[in-house]
Amino acid sequence: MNGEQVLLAVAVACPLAGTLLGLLAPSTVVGRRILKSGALVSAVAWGALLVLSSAVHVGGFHSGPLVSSTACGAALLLISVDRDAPTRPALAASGFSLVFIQAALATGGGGGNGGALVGGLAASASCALAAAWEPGRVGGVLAPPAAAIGVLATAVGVFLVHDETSAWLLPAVGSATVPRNAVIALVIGAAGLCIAGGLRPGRSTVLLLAGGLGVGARAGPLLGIAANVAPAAPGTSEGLAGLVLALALVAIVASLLRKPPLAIAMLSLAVAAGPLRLLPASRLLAAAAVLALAIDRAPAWLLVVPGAAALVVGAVDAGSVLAIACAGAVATVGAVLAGVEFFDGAPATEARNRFDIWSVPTILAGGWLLLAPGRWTWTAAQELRFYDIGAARAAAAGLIAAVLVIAWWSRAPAGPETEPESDPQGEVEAGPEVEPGAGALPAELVLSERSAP
Amino acid sequence: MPARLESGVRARLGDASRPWGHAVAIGAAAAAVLMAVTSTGDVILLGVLLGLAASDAVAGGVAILAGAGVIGRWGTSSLAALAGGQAVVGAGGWTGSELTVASTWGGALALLLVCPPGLAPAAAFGATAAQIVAGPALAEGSSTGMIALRVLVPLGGMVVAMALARLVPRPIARTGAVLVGVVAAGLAFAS
Repeated sequence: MNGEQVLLAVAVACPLAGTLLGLLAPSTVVGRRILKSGALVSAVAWGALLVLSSAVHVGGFHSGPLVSSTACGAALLLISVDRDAPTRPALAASGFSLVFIQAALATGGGGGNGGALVGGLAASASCALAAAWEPGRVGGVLAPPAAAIGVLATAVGVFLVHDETSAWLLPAVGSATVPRNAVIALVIGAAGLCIAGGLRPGRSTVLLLAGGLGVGARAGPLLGIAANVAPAAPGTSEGLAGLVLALALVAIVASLLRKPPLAIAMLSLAVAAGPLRLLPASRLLAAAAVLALAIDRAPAWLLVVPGAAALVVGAVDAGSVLAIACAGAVATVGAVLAGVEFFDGAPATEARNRFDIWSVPTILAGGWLLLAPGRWTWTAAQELRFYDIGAARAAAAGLIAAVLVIAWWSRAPAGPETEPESDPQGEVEAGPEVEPGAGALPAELVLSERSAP
Repeated sequence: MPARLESGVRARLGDASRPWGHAVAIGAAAAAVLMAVTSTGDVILLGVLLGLAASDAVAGGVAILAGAGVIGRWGTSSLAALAGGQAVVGAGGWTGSELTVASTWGGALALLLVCPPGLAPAAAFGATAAQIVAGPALAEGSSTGMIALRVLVPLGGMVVAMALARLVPRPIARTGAVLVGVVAAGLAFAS
């Protein structure tokens, strides 16, 4: 085995090892940490394969840009899980959910083996739903039927592809034509899985979002080469306008419900089913959805910015009504998200608001996406090279300015003893007791703040 | 630095009661100024940075609207391409059809109107407005006077932004900025 094959073996084996070792741990807390460690190693290995643009096989498993990115996203999502029941069965179900979803995505070649895909997704969804079982909550009630619809629709799509190609391997983009109905079924299946995964951050069902986006990223572009959809030359397809608009509508509803990752995922699927020129934007939006769900903090939806920038460039290039509609959908979702944040400043019900060491890898990945999306070569977003340059310079200037400001404010405050004449009534407290950060505020501001209830 | 001067500077920089949030705002403003002045990056990212600099979702929305106007007129979201376009065909503020010129000035006016009080946001919003109206085309020829003008335009934008923030009541300014921004973006796409 060469180095890349070793990486692939590590990426596939670590979730299983983490699950088994986690079950042997003395407590579920320790077991969960072991499971997350295994997922983290797997994510790093898949990430390395992604950076290397690796396409190798080990047994029945293979790596490729879409496989590596989706599997890496699934592993990162498992690391973010912290609200499952603290029991060993839930721990086992959570771990096996990752094992099965990575097997579903990485088995076969080309676009993946249809049978393994459906079987793996079904097993993963069952495990994830069992680990995150919460029938008393709205999200807990909606997730099982959404996941079931997702798996069934994906199965229907695979069977329709099999009828056309007589093979169980899903065709890679550009390698064959597939029926229009098969693509529609696959995209609907992807949407169902994304809905099941995006409803409840912090539960094992989040893995289904990665699975759904993986299916959508493979199926959506197939429209561009489907002969019965694209009468013109390959690459000029406009996708299915109705499907694109329906997915965009779901995205807007999700943003109104304050589910930014789900909204971004739906946008990604909508754009993936649109003009082929928008494929880089679709992939960037998919990455943003996964990372935003894993980070699960209010500003995370800003990760949509690189995808939006790529979408604008692509839509201007494509120049079609559907491409402009996709850009409009992204703008609408962005406006709704900003509006909801503005008019309802309270944090989302379950958003994290404390530091968590396990969120560091996803935050780093999110920062990398925000600052250098052009470096994410698997998305093929070369048009963002100017974005990268500007973001790098802006980050440098912004960090320097922020550090200077923090250093300035953290200096010893200029206490009133330096200006005793400005406080003739002696109501301002001595310098060392001034609140940190209040620093050299005008005395009337400090007093008014302290007198406030 | 004398305490009184330091106090005054801090007051002009903005709300000092939230130093961490303020550091983010100042950092975003510095980043936005650098992007605008050096014409690098993307207008959407610049809009987000302006929103962070203002700590205001409406300001960010207006900035992205102004960016949409740029995209509608120049067909790109790249600031480098915007600068290149202006260097070739002339400054956006007085080159092109009436509609495109109006959309350019409308986008700049929206940015200046929505700018909150404070030196840092004024610098960021002013420099961005100047970039939209009169990009590097002004410096063509590299004569001393033109280069001086190139420096003065962003400074002028900053001064106007500070003046509007002081003179126009905030609710009126924000509402006006949204309306002007929407009209400007619409004109850019319609032209």
